[in-house]
Amino acid sequence: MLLAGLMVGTLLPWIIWLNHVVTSEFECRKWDLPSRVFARPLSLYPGLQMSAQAFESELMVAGYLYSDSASDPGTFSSSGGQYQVYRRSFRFDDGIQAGLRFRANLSNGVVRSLSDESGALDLVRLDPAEIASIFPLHDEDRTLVSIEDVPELLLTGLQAVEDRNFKNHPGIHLRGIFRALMANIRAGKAVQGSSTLTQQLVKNYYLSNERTLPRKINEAFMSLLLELHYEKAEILEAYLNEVHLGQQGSHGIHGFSRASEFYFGGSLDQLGTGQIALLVGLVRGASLYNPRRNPDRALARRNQVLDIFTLTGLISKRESDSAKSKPLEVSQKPRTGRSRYPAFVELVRRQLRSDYREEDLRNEGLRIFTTLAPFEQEAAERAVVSGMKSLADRGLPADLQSAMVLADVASGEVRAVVGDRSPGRDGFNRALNARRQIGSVIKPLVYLLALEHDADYNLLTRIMDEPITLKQPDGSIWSPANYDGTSHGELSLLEALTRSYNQATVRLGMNIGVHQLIARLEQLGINAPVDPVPSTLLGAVELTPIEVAQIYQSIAAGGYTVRLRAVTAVQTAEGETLNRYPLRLMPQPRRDAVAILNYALTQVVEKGTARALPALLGSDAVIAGKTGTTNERRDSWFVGYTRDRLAVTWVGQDDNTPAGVTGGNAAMQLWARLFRVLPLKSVDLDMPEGAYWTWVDPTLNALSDESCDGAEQLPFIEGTEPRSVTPCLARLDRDDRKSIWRKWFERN
Amino acid sequence: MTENQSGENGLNVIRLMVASLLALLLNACAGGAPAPVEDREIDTRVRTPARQDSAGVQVYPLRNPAVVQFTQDARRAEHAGDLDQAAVFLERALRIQPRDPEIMQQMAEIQLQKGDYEQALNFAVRSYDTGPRVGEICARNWRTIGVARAHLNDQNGALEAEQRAGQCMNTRPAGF
Repeated sequence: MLLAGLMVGTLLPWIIWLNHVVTSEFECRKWDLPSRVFARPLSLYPGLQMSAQAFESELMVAGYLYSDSASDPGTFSSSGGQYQVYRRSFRFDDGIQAGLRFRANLSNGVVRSLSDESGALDLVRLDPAEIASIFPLHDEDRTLVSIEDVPELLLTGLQAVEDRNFKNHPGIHLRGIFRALMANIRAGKAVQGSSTLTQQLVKNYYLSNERTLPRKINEAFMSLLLELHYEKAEILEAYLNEVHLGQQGSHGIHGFSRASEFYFGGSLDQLGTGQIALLVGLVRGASLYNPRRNPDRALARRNQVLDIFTLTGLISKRESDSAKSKPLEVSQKPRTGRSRYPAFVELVRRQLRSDYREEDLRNEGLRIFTTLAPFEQEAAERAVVSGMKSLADRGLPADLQSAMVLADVASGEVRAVVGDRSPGRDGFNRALNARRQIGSVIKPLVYLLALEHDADYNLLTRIMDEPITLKQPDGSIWSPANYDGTSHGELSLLEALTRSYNQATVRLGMNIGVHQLIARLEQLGINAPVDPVPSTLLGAVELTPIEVAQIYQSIAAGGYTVRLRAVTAVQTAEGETLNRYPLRLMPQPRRDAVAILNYALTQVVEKGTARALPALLGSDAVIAGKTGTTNERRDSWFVGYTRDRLAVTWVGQDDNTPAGVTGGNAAMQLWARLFRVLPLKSVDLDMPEGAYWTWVDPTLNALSDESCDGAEQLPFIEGTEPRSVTPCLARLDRDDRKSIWRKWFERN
Repeated sequence: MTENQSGENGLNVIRLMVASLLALLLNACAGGAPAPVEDREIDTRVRTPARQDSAGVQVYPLRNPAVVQFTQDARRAEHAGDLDQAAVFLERALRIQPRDPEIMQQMAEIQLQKGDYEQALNFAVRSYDTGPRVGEICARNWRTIGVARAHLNDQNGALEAEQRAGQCMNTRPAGF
């Protein structure tokens, strides 16, 4: 009696609890629809700089098909720069946009005109490319399938191999469990398991992987409960979408549909008999029978499964033999499924998790609008792939790695991310996660701090590039050398920065204070710990490419810092906009100094360490940039920007061994490959309030005049311009000078 | 159409503007703006006084028709009271012309009405930095900065901004 009471007292609450777990989780997971991720929509307008190649690439990525007449939504035709496009209707975050058949006329890299049957159009926004389907809260990539769309042979074959009595059992095999229990008792520990599909599903859904008796008992009860609540078809469908069939980096490959994309690059309905057998065989051990890593074992397993298919009458002997005669038919590279741009999508996930409430992200079927520009992403990927190949051809290590981040200067919208030399590979994403020393890429901040420093410095201020010996806080002695091994004596701030001299920079930085530099990094949103040691001045700071992009966004945008963002809006499946990521400006207080730094960085490209760039680009557009190389040529960095695009590239070895790279010989090459196919708009060098352009003689460090020999126009913060004047200007001053107003109008 | 923001063009516009200002002053016909019909802060403290500060002289760069469409959409959304939507339209306009001072000032005025004074201030400052720093838009920049600073409890800054608004017609823009 007591025993019975105890049983009811403990068993009943336990079963009620298990029941709750089983049903709530199943309901939640069963209908889990992935979120759809969209690229930024392409807005076309007359005057937009866009090559035909870029336009067609955008259409292709957005799934537009070439046709002769463009008579259906989602098709386009073209003839000599004349495009006819039938835009699909699409629900944006600002409402539904109807389909539209329009003409676009492109020539010489510019959209010349747009029109539809009723006349000229000022603006056409295309429906965006769908670039991924994700679960924002877990690192799984799935393509869901409904049971009606699963090939018959997969449904029956799976049962034939894994659970022949699935149709009839109540969730468990009592006899099987008993047999396993006896085997376990004999062995003295839990060694053998016999699982129905239901149990396997339960194990995947609710339980850890440990093999213990209590876990086995829980699993059995939960399986019974699951069968009690749900139809066989519902359970099988959940299983088909849940089962673990492989691993790609940190992402599990779950479900047959996703596995089909991952291994064969196509959907389930395109699979042949042998391929279905291979997938079914993987259930037993996705890693053990991994067809890419263990092809022999996978082949044996596939043939074993084909035998079972034949034995159970699912296929004929002849079909089995024909399937066996074929190789594994696995695609060379794992396709990243519906996530075409894994490095960018990781940034999307990261920003969603940091900026949205978890309960919002639990909503199913979210529509996530991002900033990715398909053509620019494709161009960045091509630049990395072809650039890395060319570096290897030139004798650099063939296993170098690379990362690239491309962003819009003013809005901070991230247009492209590449995290691996094989951009489609969904593994370690260097653009977001590789912390590397940034070397000289940090120097502009040192010079910026100098320019902001109470009227003491301008671009012509003389500093000394001489050996310097400093004691680091740990007691070690530090004597930085220049890249070329020599010291250059007295030179201007501008020369020291454009030629990236270490000794001059350290001397300048020590006058400013290392802590100022660290404070600035923090203020620019860099959370990585930075040691307050002198070597920080030369970039002994480990940052990720995206962090470097964040620092330079602020500079490139003239001190109007914005947070780099990959997500612009998120909508629920019903069309309710959850939250917007509006553009928020965070102006730096000293935009006059930033504007002057911008000019200095254009000089890096014009006559400094990046002077090879214009020839690589084949353009005379004004571009700003900075190279970076770290000790023993471990890291190659290049950060460069035009008026509207900023890109950071990094090249190095994953294990941080010397790679033989410099900023100029590697990262800059990749940068140039990307920008060769992007519109190049010159950097904006208009000065904000508080700074202005004036004529000076840089060698004399004196004010001069346009008409004087050796005069150059340089920007200065008001009050910091040189105090002396050239003899030429002094002579002119004595003459009857024109009134400022007259001169001003005459220059028109 | 390309962006019309280069320094040379900007300079031309300003010269033209100064010339027209001189002409206006000579003719002594710079009439005041009509009285506001609404009692909103954005009108009473920014737009109307700015029109008066600038004596009706406007300096607008050539506009891209797509941008014009967005700014008009934004204005309609603003009048309908949908400030979030207005900001979305202006962001889309900024994607096309990221340094357009008029779009940024319009955004500043939207932020002011939304009560996001910090962003109102920031957009107005940016509009001033990239804009002609003279004329009606200059006055709207400083009026917005003034109102935003006042809301952010920077009374001295607000006062200074009011003075700067008044100077938008008689100072040579710095930086040229």
